[in-house]
Amino acid sequence: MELKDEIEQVVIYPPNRPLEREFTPSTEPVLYQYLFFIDVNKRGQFLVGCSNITGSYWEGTLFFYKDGLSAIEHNYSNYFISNSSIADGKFFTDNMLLVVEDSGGLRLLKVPNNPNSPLKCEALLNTVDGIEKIAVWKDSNNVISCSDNSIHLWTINDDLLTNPVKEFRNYHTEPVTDIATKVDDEGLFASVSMDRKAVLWDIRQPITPASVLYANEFGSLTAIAWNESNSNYMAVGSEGGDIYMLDIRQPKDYVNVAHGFECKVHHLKFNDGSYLAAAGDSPGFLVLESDDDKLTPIYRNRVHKGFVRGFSWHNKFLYSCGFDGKVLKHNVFDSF
Amino acid sequence: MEQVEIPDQEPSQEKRKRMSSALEIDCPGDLRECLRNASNDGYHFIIINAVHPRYSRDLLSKNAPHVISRTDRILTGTDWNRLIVGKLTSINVDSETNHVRNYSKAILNQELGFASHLGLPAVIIRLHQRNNTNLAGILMEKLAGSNVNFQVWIQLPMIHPTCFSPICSKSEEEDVWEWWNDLRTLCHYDKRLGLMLELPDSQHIPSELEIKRWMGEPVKVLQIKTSLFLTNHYNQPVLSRNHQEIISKMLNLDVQYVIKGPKLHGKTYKPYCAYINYLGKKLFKNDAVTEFVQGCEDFLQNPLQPLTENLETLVYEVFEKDQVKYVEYQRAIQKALEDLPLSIIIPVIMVVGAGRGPLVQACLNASYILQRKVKIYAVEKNPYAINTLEDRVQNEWHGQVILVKDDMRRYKPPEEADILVSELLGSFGDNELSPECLDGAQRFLKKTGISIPVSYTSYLAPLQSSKIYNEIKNSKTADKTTESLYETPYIIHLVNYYQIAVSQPLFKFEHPNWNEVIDNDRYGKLRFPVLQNCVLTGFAGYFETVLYKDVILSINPQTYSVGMVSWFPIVFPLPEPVQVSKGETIEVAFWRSQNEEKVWYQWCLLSPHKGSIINPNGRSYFIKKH
Repeated sequence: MELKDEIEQVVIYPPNRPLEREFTPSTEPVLYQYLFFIDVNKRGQFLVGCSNITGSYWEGTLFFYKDGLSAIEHNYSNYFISNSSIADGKFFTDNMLLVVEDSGGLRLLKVPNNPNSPLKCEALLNTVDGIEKIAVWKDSNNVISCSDNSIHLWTINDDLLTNPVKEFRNYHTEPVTDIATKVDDEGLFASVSMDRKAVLWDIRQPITPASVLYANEFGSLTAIAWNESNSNYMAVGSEGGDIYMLDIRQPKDYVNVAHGFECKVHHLKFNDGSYLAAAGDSPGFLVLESDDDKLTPIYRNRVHKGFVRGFSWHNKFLYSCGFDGKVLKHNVFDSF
Repeated sequence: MEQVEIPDQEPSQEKRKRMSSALEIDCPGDLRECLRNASNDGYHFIIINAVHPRYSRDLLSKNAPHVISRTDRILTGTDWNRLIVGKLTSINVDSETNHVRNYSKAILNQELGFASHLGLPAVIIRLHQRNNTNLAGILMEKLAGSNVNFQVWIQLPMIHPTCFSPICSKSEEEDVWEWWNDLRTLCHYDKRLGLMLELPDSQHIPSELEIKRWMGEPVKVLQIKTSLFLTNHYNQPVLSRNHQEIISKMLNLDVQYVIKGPKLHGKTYKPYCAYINYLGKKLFKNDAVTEFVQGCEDFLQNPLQPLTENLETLVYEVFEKDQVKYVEYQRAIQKALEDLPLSIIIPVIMVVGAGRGPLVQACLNASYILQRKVKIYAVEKNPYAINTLEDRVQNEWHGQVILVKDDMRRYKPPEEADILVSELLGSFGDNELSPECLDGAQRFLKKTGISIPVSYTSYLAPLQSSKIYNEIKNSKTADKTTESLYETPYIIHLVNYYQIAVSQPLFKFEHPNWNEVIDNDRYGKLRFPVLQNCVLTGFAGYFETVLYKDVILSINPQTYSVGMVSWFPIVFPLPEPVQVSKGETIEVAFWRSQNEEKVWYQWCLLSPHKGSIINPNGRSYFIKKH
């Protein structure tokens, strides 16, 4: 290209010309600074979701990585570009993914065989808007999601995503902030909300599926995780930065509490043992050991340069992602 | 199953309410495209997140990000200003935890500042709890500043889910109206603070009483989720009857309608907008009254002073349009005429304050119908109205009517009348000095004669209307003190109001009054029950009059003369809104007093909180006698 052409391409003349560029979805996947979630399947493959939430065009990109190292090095195998920012994403099976778009779409994506190609959209439903979180069970066709005051139960049969089979509206009286399943029991899950309540759900109970497990005195509950190794326990986080250990056999009160952050608890994630990773609205995160009813902080980390948003545990390592555009791996257990 | 309708079949009436609709879209990818699509689908503006709701940021840290949201260059200033309303991020500036409060305050301040920078017409804040003291403080800091031009719409459900959630106990029930009331009270009823109400699903419609109270609030926006729409046989979205009833009540308040949710009826949002427009036609009540009162909604008018000021053509014309009133007068005159003994060969009727002659015509009509000859005197002091009457005497009344250009209080008639007809009533009955005028005029009525009207009674009811409170506040001019504004009654076509209790009779006057000493001073106390928590901002005054026997005219809501448009209610304000609670009693004392020069009302709240006497000695408002 000649210099004159190059100059013509970059010069905006007159210099006071209004903004004219058109906004269209990216043709190549862009890794935006704002990474919101990370998930790993049994094969050790990762998915990571990021969004442009401050620029002119709010879109999201979902990346699929063949392993943890690829995720850290952002060496993706497949991707999906959404024309909306994305709120959450999970592996539904080892090669099927679910992603929630802020435009109201719930997408089922399939990992194609050939690398560097887009994830294949198997199904898209636009019937529930404002989904914030989704959660899945192990080896189950059921998926739950939360949006505003509602929780929806979806089923996926033969790659077919249909409208929610159940809606639990206005049990929570303010927006639901997080949901967690008891992974090996597809009838059970739990939710927390800005109404300050943690609620235990058994969807096999047709008349009273929900019961209040705990109500916080001070403010909203913002995150929840179910202990996979000792499923009587779950952890909930509050806007005040506290992490409460709840015992489903002793509803109405918490069994232990740890002050995690001087900010809102954003995300909680148990490993397959009794270790709980906790992120707040801060660049640091925390790992706590939960021994039955005890809750002890054992590890703190401030490596991220932006807020930590998501965790995945894999092979004794903790993977985190955040608002610095990075996936990081942490050797939590060798550090103590 | 609720009956559904077909929007395509439009009702026959031509008139409609112009509906303003908006589309609420979560985090649109391309704002310009979103705006284009919404506009193509018929919407007037869009509601979007001013800042991405998941953009968590610690603005108090030294590494606080500089970026806030999309660049303002995406749209022109005019478009930001006309077409975009911004939802603010859900935060909690009223947390009991310091760091939550501080973090939230920084975010709120930044987003309010950004909205102001963009020039948005309104921002939306959704409340999640009752205590919003700090929020009120922050909002008032902004609103009291000079560079904030936006409105703040407070988003609330019409009924809080705690009232019906299966996991909530009775003690957890929240009345969201109280949340709103607390906040706006702290913000001193600022008129820039409005409500965005969420239409509830049809299983959870609030009680009639609660809906009425919402109608007394500054509701700016009604949010309708697409999931609330039913589908008719043509696969088009329609709303259930009880939803339509709520919208029909909102129609007069100039509420804007916001559609939110997934497209469940086609590929665009057009059907929802079209349906809302259709409701503007279907639910529009087009009768004589609507046509007459359009444009007068909640508009303050000063009561007339007909004794000292001559009315103008336009005013007469407006009065004369009221068919109901004159038909009833004619009925009353006819009945009175029938009751006069036949020994009176030619009954004498005097119309005092004849104006341009409608009551004279009513007398003549009664006489024609009964085939009974009458002699009519028309007394009128306004020289310009006399001019009109002269023409009617010559060209329409065949010289039958005797015109008298004089003040009825001074006129000395050559003979006494059998029937004295007048229309001197104001919205509060006696407030245009009908008692004083008729007491003077009755001297030319035979002792056996009949006055039409025979009697009139004023009625009073406690009122909630922050709109009117603000209208009064904003009517301040250089020559009026704030005290005098709230010591003046106003004639108002009440729309955005809630009447707290059923009206009760206050003062009654009967004519003729042959007592030796006539006393038109009055004093009364009324007690009203409070059925639900609300805000007392003043009292609405009405009247009922017995023209003759069973012929009555009324603007009192319980006995309203349907179709009558001559009188709007009168409102006696209170200087400050008063919070009243369910179970309490509102007690008010009311005086009608006079001296040589003037007549005035004084009023005073006695309970639930004792106030001081308003308008003592008629210092701010009075009716001149001369």
